[in-house]
Amino acid sequence: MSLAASDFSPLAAKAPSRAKDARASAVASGSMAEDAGSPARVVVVMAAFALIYGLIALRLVDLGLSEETPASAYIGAQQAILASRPDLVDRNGELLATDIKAPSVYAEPRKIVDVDEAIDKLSSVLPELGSDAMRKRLESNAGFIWLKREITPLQREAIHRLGIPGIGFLTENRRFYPGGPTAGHIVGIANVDEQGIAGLEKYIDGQGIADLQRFGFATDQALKPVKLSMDLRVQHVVRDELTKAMERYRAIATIGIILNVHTGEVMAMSSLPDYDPNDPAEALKPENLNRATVGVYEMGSVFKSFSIAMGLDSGKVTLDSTFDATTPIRIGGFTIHDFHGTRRVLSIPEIFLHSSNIGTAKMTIAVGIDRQQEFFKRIGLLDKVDTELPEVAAPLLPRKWSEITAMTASYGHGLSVSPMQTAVAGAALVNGGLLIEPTFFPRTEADAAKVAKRVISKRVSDMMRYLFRLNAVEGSGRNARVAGYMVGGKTGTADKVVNGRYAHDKRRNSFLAAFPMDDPQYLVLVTIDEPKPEEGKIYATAGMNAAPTVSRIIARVAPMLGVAPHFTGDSDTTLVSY
Amino acid sequence: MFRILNIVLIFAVVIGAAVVFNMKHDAENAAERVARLQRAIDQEEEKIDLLKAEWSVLNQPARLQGLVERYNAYLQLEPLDAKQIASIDDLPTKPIDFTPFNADPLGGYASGGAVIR
Repeated sequence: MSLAASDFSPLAAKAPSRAKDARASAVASGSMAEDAGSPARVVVVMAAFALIYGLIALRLVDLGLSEETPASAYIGAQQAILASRPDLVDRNGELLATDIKAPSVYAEPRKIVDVDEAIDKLSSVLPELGSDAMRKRLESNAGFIWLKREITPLQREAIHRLGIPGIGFLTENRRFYPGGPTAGHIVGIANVDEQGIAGLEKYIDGQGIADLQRFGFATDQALKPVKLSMDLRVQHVVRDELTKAMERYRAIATIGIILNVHTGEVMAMSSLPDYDPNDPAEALKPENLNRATVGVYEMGSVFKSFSIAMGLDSGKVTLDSTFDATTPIRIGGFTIHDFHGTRRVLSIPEIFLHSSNIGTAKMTIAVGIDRQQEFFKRIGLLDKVDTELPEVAAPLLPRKWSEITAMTASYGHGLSVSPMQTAVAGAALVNGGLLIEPTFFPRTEADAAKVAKRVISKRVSDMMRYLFRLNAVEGSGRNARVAGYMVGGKTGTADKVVNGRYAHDKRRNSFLAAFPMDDPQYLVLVTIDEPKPEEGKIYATAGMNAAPTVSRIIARVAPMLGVAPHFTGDSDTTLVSY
Repeated sequence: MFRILNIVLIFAVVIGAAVVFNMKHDAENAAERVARLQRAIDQEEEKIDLLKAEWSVLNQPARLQGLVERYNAYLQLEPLDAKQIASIDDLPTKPIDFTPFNADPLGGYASGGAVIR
């Protein structure tokens, strides 16, 4: 038998013995040697089967080892549109801006069977979808169109119940501002695609979130909340008092800023009229712009603080220097008057108290025009403020720094700066002489010291504190006093320019204050645009409206800011040690 | 001999298949449960976010001020005055207690008179 098998072919010898037996039996059972095929063919078939089963086995092992893929493609589409932004919180962790989920309804026109029916049904819930334009879009062969972004859960339920094929929902993040208009100008706005378009929302986009969103990383994972330097309670008080001031003095606009003089942190910044960031269309109205940083104004007599600081800093002027303010200055067709005319020789504190234009102008000329320009540049009045807020305007400077320009600039005319700039320069006068760029994010005093620039000496700063306090005790700032908090400040009543001329009945009033004057912590700047005299009063100067507004703000915010009051013969004390 | 081995192996295969099927079934159940819990967690988180936003709306200083102004006849709240703020040093010293502490077994002075404590 084995001989017979080996006769088939030399190849058979290599085949396994069982095969040989099988073939042997096949041969034995009946002469079917030719039907069994050549042994070579058998081997090829066997190899082929072995290969196939081997592949199946390998694939099974492969499948067994592979990760389970997500169950539905739905998750992918959902993730793609769930762009999210970090929450914004104030310095105490109070929420200023957050994401909330809102459903959006979309259509897949290719899958819609009956467009007319779909539109009829949809417009029963969302009437605005019944338009012809929408019909055209639904009749198109598009794969995906948004019908309406951010609908309410109730509308979603109603549409779901209509049961229209080809209509679906995706959940999107929507930006929500719980405070409404309270901090609108600081926080800014994010649009429907969760991209910041104004305020700090825009700034944080520039810090990398926009890139994360573009590459799909900033999905729904929790992003760390961004903390601002602002205090929501203080911000509310400022806005509340400005609202009341606007009513009381029938003003067209008001601005309020509170700065920490040692760190440059903006504790509050409000500009009325403002807008509710939950309704972004309002932000586009020109009257709602952020006047605190975008508006540039002639700040008026507030600038006398800077001029006198410049004089004291130059060393050519001391507090005992005197300037003759008996007659108005006539120069190049202009006449410089004093509003509170004293018509006598005034010392520096008297110039400050009586807000003498003549005295300030003469002092500036005595010190020198170049020095004035250099000093204004040094305290940041001639350059754009460097801060995080995207909406910042550059000051409007006179074309040529002539003698008359220098004179008018010395009392705050002919040179327009933003209120924020004024506040920052003012802080440098009282904090010991350091110019610190303002910030909307928390900053420690140590960090502030790194960015601070010394602009005046400690001694000049001490003298300025004395003058500010003196003005609140004997001068135009009396109405700004708050028992226990030693407020000091300077008024500014600037005539507004109407049709290229100064109008004497339209004013922009400011009060630049700091407290407590013996160790200043916070600076408050209030500007009131076109105030009218209060009921039963004749004047509408800054001392009559801006100063009392500052007083009301300080009385309310000082305890919140942790400034301890002290009552050692407070209301009439001036500072002696300058 | 081979027959017994074959039968044992066939049983082993059947039992093995049954065990594997069971394990796979359990694993599927567990995965489903994980997904369900994950969805529930996500929903809870969304709810928490929403509640936080609502809390913040209800706690807005502007809203609270409005409420206080409206219901102040009942609430009787006044703004804080600077005179109401004091430090611990501003407090007067504790009044002197002149009652003798006779009840104290180890206390008192030899004279038995009034003590200052």
